[in-house]
Amino acid sequence: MPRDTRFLLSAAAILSALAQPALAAGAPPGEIVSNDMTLSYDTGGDTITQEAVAEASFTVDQRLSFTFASLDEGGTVNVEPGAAAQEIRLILTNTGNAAVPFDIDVAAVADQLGLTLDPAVGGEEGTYSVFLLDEPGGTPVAYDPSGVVSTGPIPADGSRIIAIRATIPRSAGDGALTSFEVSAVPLTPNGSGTQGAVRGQGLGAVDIVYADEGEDGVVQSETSYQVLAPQLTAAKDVVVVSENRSGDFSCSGGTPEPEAEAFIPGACIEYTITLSNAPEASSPATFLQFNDTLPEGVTFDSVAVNNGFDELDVEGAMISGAIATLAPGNSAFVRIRATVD
Amino acid sequence: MRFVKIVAHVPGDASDAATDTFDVTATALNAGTNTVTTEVTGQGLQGIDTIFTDPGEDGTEQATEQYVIQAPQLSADKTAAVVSENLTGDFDCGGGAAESGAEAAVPGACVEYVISVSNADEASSDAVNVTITDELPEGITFAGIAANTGFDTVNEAGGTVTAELAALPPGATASVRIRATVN
Repeated sequence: MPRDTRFLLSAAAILSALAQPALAAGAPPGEIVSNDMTLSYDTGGDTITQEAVAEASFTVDQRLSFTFASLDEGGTVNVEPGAAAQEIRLILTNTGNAAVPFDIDVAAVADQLGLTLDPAVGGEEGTYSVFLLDEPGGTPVAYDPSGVVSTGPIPADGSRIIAIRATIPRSAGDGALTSFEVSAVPLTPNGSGTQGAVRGQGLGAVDIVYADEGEDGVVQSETSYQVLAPQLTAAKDVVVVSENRSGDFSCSGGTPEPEAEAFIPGACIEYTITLSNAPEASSPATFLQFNDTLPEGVTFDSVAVNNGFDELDVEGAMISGAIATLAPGNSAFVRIRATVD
Repeated sequence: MRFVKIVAHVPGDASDAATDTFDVTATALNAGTNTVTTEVTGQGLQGIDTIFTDPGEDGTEQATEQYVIQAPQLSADKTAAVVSENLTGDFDCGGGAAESGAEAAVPGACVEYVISVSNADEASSDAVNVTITDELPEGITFAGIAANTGFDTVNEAGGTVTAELAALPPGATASVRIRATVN
């Protein structure tokens, strides 16, 4: 009968297979699948039966297949200027039928953030480093993607997480983008070089074939950092509210006089300070604050209007305002009255 | 007169045209005894002479008969080949056309077994009620019967393929192609 399955594997490989018994990716390379059959016919009133005749065998070959997938939605991680330890994560899964080490290469393309690789994982502003993790909650192990560096064998059906960790430059503008092209290439079992395809071995020995998406032994994934920042503008102007020639104008509450224009001593003037977040900004400005010191020659009188500031403080000639959140397209302004000395 | 009948049960593995020859010898015995009769002469007219008049005039006769096996001369052959490596996973293993260059039996690949049963030209008789039973081994999964030439029925159940035909004359061949995927 045909239940005859033998192994050409080395003892070490058998032990490895025992350690990972459930291979949804398929039978391991080297396993021999042998198939015979039973033949019977009648003659002379008897049935003649011949068992285990016409055996045909083949050896299971190695399928090199693997996939990359970004663990970040849309393949993009949104970051803020100056943010540290910002991670992009990808998962490399070995969908072949044997353990394979891989080489991971990471290249920054469309690099508007000007990030540079720091293999020493110092975490300085404007740098990025690469780590490998066995599982999402695993311990990150620094990985230098320069040249050919083995990840160590990734078992069949196993996976490895690649994390790119960057500290975003403080000067990064809203919408700035850096994309990383991450590629994986299978290595020979000892990790010393690229594992090429091996063909022409017939049914009795092990072929090695690429079965990744491009069937070329390379998979790539592109993933990005994109800066989301407010686009703030500040403006200040000053107008004369009243020339107050008669000396009886109430600067703190008086209605602006249409013809007033002369900055003469005693005149009432009004500063308007406006903070705006542009409609096209990617994110609100938070914990927004301004400090304005009135120049010599004028004396603070009052706050005429507060439109949007959560806090306003006056200490002598120093005026401070704060806003918790200023959404894109929104503005806040304050009108401050003062008298000309 | 007596008839002598030899009854034999021919071995099941007896080959076509095999022979077995029997020499059957009869010797005259004295009546009522197991004593071989001898010729007696010279007893005169008063005594009894015993004279052999069989063809050899020696009191013994021999005949030769032979069994000759008349049987089919069946041979069975099976080959395996990779029909598609199915690297993209969308090959129809049950009925898809074989892809040239396919050679690697990787998991997911489609393999084809060609089973042939032949009765030799020189066989003396038909093979009757020929049945092949192929229990597919672990490591592959039945996908379909790609072709059947000469079998009356081909069925698969639980990973075992059974093909039957009523009679296979000398010189005739029946074959079936079984497709399976590598697990």
